[in-house]
Amino acid sequence: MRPQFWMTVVSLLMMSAFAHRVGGQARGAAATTTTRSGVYTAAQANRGEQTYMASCVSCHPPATYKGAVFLNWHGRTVSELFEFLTEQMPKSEPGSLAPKEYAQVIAYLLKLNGMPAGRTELPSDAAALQRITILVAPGTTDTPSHAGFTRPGLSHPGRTR
Amino acid sequence: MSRRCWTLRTTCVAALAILTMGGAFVVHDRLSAVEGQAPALVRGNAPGEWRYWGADAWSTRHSPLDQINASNFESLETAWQWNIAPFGPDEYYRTTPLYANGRLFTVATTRRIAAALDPATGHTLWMWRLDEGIRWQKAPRQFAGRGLAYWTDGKEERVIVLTPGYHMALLDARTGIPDPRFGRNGVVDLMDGLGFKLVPLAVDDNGPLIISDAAPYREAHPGETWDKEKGIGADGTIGIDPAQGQIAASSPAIVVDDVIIVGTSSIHGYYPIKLHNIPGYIRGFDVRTGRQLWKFNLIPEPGEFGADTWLNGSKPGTPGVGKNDAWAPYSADPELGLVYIPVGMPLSDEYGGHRPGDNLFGNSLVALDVKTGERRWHFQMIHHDIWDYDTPIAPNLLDITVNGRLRKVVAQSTKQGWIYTFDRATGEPIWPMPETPVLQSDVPGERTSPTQPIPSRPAPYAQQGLMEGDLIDYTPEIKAAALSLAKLCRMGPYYIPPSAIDATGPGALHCSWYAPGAAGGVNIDGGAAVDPDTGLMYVASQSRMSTIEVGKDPCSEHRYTQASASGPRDSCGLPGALPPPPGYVAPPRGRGAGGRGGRAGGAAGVGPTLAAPTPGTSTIAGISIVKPREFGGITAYNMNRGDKAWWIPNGGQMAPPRPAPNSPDAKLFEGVTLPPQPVGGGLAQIITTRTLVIYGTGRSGGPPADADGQFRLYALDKATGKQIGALPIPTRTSAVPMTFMHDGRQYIVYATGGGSAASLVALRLPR
Repeated sequence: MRPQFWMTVVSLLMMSAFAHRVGGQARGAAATTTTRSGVYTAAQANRGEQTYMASCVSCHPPATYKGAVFLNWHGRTVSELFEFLTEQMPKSEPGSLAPKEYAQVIAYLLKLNGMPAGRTELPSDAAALQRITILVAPGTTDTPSHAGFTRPGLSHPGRTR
Repeated sequence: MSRRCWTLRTTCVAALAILTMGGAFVVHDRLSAVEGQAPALVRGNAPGEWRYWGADAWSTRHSPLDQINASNFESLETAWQWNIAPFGPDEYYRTTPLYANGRLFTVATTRRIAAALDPATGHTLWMWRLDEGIRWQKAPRQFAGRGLAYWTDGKEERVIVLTPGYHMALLDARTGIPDPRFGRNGVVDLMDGLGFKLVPLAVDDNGPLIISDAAPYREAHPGETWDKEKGIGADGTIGIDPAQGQIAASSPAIVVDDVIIVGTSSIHGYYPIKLHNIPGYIRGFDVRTGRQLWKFNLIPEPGEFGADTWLNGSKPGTPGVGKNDAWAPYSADPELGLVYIPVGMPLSDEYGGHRPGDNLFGNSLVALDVKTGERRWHFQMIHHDIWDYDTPIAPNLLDITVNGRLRKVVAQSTKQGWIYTFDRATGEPIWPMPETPVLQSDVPGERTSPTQPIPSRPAPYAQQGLMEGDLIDYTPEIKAAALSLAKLCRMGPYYIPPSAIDATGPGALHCSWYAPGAAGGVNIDGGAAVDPDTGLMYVASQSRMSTIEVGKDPCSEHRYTQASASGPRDSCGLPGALPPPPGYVAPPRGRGAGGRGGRAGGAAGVGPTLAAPTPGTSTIAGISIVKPREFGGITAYNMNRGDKAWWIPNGGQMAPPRPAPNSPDAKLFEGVTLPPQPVGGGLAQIITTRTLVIYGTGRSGGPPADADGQFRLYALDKATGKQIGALPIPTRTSAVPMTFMHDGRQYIVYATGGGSAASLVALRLPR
């Protein structure tokens, strides 16, 4: 059998296990791949870092979107995250970034959380993103360990200082 | 020695310092020999230099230089680029360097390295930083900060840096070596002297402080040591008892005569867990010894003037008491001996039910005597703030002629979209600011101020609230549609109080329109520059509208905190948060979460539509429901008259918007000619010179680069606003630029980027 088959099986098992662990939030039934498969490019994530620093970081230092915090999105589709961001962020002017900038920011967030880069850019339309499930693997992030840190929520603001 | 044994470890990159110190001395001596004596100072600044964050003590952001002018602006070329990546990452690089006596001084990285550069080459002359152990790890402001302060008596030169862990160091400007006569080996522990107990600190995790006050450090247990393997435990660091809260500084100190004035900066107040935090303070220190001269309490303690504006008490640690931190840079009038403190807001940002009263000196401009710290006057611009309208920027000082009378004024631009102008000696408003009745909150426990002062002049520079007359009315159908969306959230002229997302009852609204939003109006990235010669003031602002709502975070001590369309904030699981209520299940986020019941409406990729409206949606087919006006961008005011002189959008481009073609509501706009509106918003970053206004578009502002692949630095005729230059630059400005003359050549230097790609860029004319 081809290694890719086993990777897929392992990924699906992990997805299932994590979806169960975080409260059965997995809703990516239509998804055909996961964020463990290199769904963004390194260059896209680098651009996303700059967009993040320009538009997001004032209210969301990277620590607020890393590791355990990001588990809130585990098991859901990238499309859901994309639509959440496009509809509600930045708080001061929701929807003001270009679709590809939102996709860049997501690429950066995936990188922050240890999900690998690949050869193809993350698309910037919700329909295509519905086919990708966010799959966070504990222990593979560069996240600080927070004892007893189980499932914090997201933060949603928009300002500066 | 443990990894973090508490010593004031100077990381003066030794070899570099040794190699460059000699050179630095040579430069200094050469300048001294040429000039012979200290230059006469104008507003505390040597002509052609940039010794303060805002150019001079008045924060004019003005330079009298004119080598770079309308005829050659677009000939500017990059002299050098100083990349900070080798020294560490930053958030967005928000620093404006200083130039004094032949050297450029800056800060960089999340460790807030202080550095001196050769202005001609960008070579690093010296670097200094402090290993602050877990005081850095849990610092509320873990980034490079806005810059440094500079002092000289004509013989000695010093650079003052406030570290992320809240220390103050006095460095020899020539060598970077801490002055051993200052504090303890050149460093003052700013956590000392505030009246709080200092205790050994420890951490239970190796991560940073999480917004807003989760995962802090704690008091160490007796005998606790550092676990090197796990990166937890007590590292020998001491600091203010963590039970009191967190404190830091993100803006530079300001030096007036021989007094260093230092403030505080708290953690964000968006989603606080604890019901109290450390109040804001302003202190004066002797520049030669580091001795604390005075302390002014920005939350007056019991018995002090203003304490009665805290109806539940104002003692530190009292529920509801915290912040009022003056985190922006300050301005000063050395002749009057006054320093002007723009004060932030109290805890928390959008709910004040735990702190009834006006909450002095929150949202005030406070004038303090530099020598004694005594309050000369103050003006509270917002009583009992629940809009996150911190005063975000140093006020501008200027001399103007009003009704034939010379007035020495201080003008404070604000998030809330108004300029407040005062006689800077007395605090008397230059134009009336009548207390005006405002909407009252219906959120349980909230007690809004019945009135707010509304400046009669100058006119605001950003959208104020949302009224029916503000809505687009290109056709009757469009007007009706806009009104139908507008009415889904609370409307009003200004200071619309937040709505509770759990409000019940007939006609209950779950959101309020929020304009200007928490990001301003004016904010720290933008702010104003002035022309001391003409009395014109140039305000960089944005004009945005969002919504404001509060909800119950089940794991916070606060009755309400900021919420969003998806529902209340959920801090459950964060270190330091309350345990979730029994049986609590965290709600899902994102589309369909339905926090206030509306987000499920739109189809994927289209967003909310008129057929399935979402409370808080401010667009129809992508077209704003608010009429475009001359708001945001750059507004020039003739402060002699209090009138607007001219306006331009950030980046200078206007174009008619196009309805989203895939929206079913786009048909409403068929056959309608839409008026042009600014292409891109954001906060411009302005300085003025003898003839020009020069600005960058800011880290997220101006037209997108995609149009022609270029970001730009712009130059305007400062009298008319006419664009006279648009210079392609590698990346956007991320902080206010500065300019200076060095060895006969004028330079413009600006910070750009963030994360792992931040740098300073220097521009100059070709020979």
